[in-house]
Amino acid sequence: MNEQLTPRQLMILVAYFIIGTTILVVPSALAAEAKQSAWILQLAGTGSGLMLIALYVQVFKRNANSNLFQINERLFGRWIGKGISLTIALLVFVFCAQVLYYIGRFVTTQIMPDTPSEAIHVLFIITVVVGMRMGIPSIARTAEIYFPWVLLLFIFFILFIMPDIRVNQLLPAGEFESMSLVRGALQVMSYSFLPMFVTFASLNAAYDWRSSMAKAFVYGTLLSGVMLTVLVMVSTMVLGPDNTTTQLYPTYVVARKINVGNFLQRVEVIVAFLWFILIFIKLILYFDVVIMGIAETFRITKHAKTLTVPVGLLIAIFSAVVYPDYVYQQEWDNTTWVAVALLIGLAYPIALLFLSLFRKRKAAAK
Amino acid sequence: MGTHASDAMHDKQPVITEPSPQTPIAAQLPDNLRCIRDRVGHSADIIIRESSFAALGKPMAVVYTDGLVDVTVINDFIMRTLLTASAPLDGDQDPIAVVAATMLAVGEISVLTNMEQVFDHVLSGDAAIFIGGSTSALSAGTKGWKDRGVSETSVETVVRGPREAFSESIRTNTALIRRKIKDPNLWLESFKIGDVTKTDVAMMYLRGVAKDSLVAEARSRLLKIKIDGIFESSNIEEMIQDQQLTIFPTLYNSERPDVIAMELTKGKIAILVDGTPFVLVAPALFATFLKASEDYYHRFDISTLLRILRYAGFVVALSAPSLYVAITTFHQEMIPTQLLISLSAQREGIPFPAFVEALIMEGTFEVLREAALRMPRSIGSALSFVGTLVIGQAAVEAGIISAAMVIVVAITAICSFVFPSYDLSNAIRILRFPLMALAASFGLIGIFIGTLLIIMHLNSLQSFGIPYLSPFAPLELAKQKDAFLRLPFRKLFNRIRVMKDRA
Amino acid sequence: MAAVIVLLLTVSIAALELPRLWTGGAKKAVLLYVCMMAAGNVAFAARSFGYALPNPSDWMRVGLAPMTEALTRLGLIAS
Repeated sequence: MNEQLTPRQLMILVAYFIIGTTILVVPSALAAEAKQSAWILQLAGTGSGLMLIALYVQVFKRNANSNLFQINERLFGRWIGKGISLTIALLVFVFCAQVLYYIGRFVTTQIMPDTPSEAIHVLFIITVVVGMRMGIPSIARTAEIYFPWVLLLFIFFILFIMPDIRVNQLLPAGEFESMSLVRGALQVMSYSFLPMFVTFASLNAAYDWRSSMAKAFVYGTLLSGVMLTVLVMVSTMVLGPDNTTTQLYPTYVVARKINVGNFLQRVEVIVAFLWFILIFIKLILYFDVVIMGIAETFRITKHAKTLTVPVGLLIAIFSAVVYPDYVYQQEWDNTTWVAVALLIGLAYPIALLFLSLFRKRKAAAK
Repeated sequence: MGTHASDAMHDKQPVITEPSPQTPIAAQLPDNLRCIRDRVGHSADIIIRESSFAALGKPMAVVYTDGLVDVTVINDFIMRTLLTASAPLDGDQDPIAVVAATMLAVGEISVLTNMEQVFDHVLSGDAAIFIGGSTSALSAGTKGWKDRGVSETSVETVVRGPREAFSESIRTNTALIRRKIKDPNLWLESFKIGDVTKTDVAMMYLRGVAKDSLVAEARSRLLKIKIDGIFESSNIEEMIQDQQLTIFPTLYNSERPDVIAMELTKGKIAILVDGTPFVLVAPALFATFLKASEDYYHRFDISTLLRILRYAGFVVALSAPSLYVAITTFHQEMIPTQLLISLSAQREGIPFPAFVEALIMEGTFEVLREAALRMPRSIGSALSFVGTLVIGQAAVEAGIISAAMVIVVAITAICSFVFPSYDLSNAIRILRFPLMALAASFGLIGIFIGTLLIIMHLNSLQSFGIPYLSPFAPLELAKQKDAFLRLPFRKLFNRIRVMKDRA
Repeated sequence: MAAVIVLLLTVSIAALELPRLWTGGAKKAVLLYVCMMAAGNVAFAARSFGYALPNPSDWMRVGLAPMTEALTRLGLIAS
């Protein structure tokens, strides 16, 4: 009973995941593509995300009650399946290190410049390890508890920034080439939606597949889509399209401008809390994929929790290795990342879908 | 085994005892009495009154513990009856059975078949009656010791509401609960726990309202306890709570009958322990500890506001010093300029960083708090007053601590008394310090991580199988009307519904 | 030095975790744990001595080079 995720928890996890690192990285990329129409790209991304979700839900439904790695072994055969599971675990391991890097860089460049980023990495990875040991149901409940506060913070953020909004910054709207739209949508998909498949598939065993679960995915996507679009719009309207492109973290700079009656100033750290919760959930969901992947491959699922400490250690070490410098990061994020995401978020689920249908037909034919 | 003649009249379950080596009751009376005298080492308060059973002409003895029995009952209803019984009996009828059935004008009677039972009963306050020639004995309920009686609560006081508190005698306590709930579905199961102390422990619940699985689980946990002595309900609490490593309490306790009765009507079970006025309630969730019985005795509007205040107080008590340390050390830009200027002026000559200041003040306050508990009452209040005000003031003037820090610590201390549960405030006291350490190292990020860890930990706790942070997570909207807010009674107490047993 | 501290920490954590696992029959888990901890400690020591660790992002970049080529040519990626 305690192991099942409720639809509401799933919706919240989906929403957190989608906004997660996206909010840090994507707005400036979108602004670079389409300047003041960045928000349209975000909308397009969300729309395509919905289609991807439909694909994923199909795969989930046809393989209910087994998680991603069990599906691999079942559809691809034992050894190839294990190989694929392990590859995915390793890929997501790198993602974990990257997310940790993002957090570290965000904190050390914006909030506490004197702290070495390794310290932040260690702090967050310890929290992730401890959280993982408490189990995914606890994490889901934690996400649920934070949810009203996330919404509240978001609303207050928008409310307090209203005085600084200049709507004319959004004009002229619609001035972008169609390839920009595709590229922007692809960026959004690579950060928010394509990694969702492996992440939520590894939790598949915890779903109780009723229609409300599929709806949970949709609601989560819609909610986060609205939030992201609003955020992109707001940063364009407050900072202007050029500034949004050049700033590392445009939304954070917007938060800096909050000034309520000369009393409530420079409260951007509170807004940063918002991002931290979301990124933390994303990180811990990725972490779950790595741990479960290794545990399933080597068949030690009952003692999966013990793997958390060594894997955590390795992630913390590699988070300083994975992006040697900023230029490398930009390059990698724009090119290889999209390729990887498309591979595990599009090609892989389609393959799984075909195999599931194929197996079903074979089983029905017998 | 003991047949309780009174079972037909009461709705109670038989006493559940642990099996022990059985020493049979000898047919010869002197053997039994020698056995008793040897076992208790000729203790002067175990009284053995030997005489003769008139109806049969056989020797008879009454054994009881002086101080635990109501001597009037023994004299008037046992001794007098047996000494003056006239009607002669057949020699082959078991005299004990006849006496039990026809002669004793006492309410509780049981037939005892071995010496261990005799000792149990005599040492609990009953009188044991031996008749020569019979291999069983009779126990008559004659309990009557000096009790503190029903007095006012000292720990949980209310402005409006009943003032009665439980006493140390378990029978008085169960009676107090029965006065609140006069429903025959209020069932009581009793246990004797503790190999040496053989403490009476009772479990009460409303059958049909409390989930059967919960009752069964509680019963099995109580039966599993293996320990020498039970002196307080906290001993039971430690042994039956869900096995998890946590500083947060998962069982609630109270010394007020109205609180316990209210929890019973919500489907919880109460565990009463003889010898302590604090009664346990299971299961206990986080929301339980932040409720006060007064919420139900005042109107819903003020109760809702006060409850919100309590939750806010909880947050402040936990994080106020940490927030102060974090903001003044790392995030000075968040403080409005005027305040910032006066704060930094105050911190001008202070030799310690904010974190050390906070540690010193908090540590001093904890010491004062512990000391105040143990001081004799006459000195107590004066000294704690002196301690906090004067020492704080002196420290500020000596330039060791800034005034703002004293204020923060004072606010924290006051807020930590806002919520009624002592166990929870202990947890807060402990958690405050690691949180301060995190705040001092990582600023608001540290506090974020700290609260995240605490919330994740709370979410992994269970009380008898129920997630600790229900009804907040997983979110059950139906239960929200009594968790955070308190909606009017019409919406709360629809009727006491029977809960279906969920797997 | 930092590497020694990390080693001490991992050993103490292992001392807390492993005995329970070993007697519980989870030999494979213990093996995996020890392997990964060893790898982690070695990696950390290597880094603190200045050796560069292999970068998995590099492997991914190289491995997926054909695909990134194709995507760039399609205009789906703007380099």
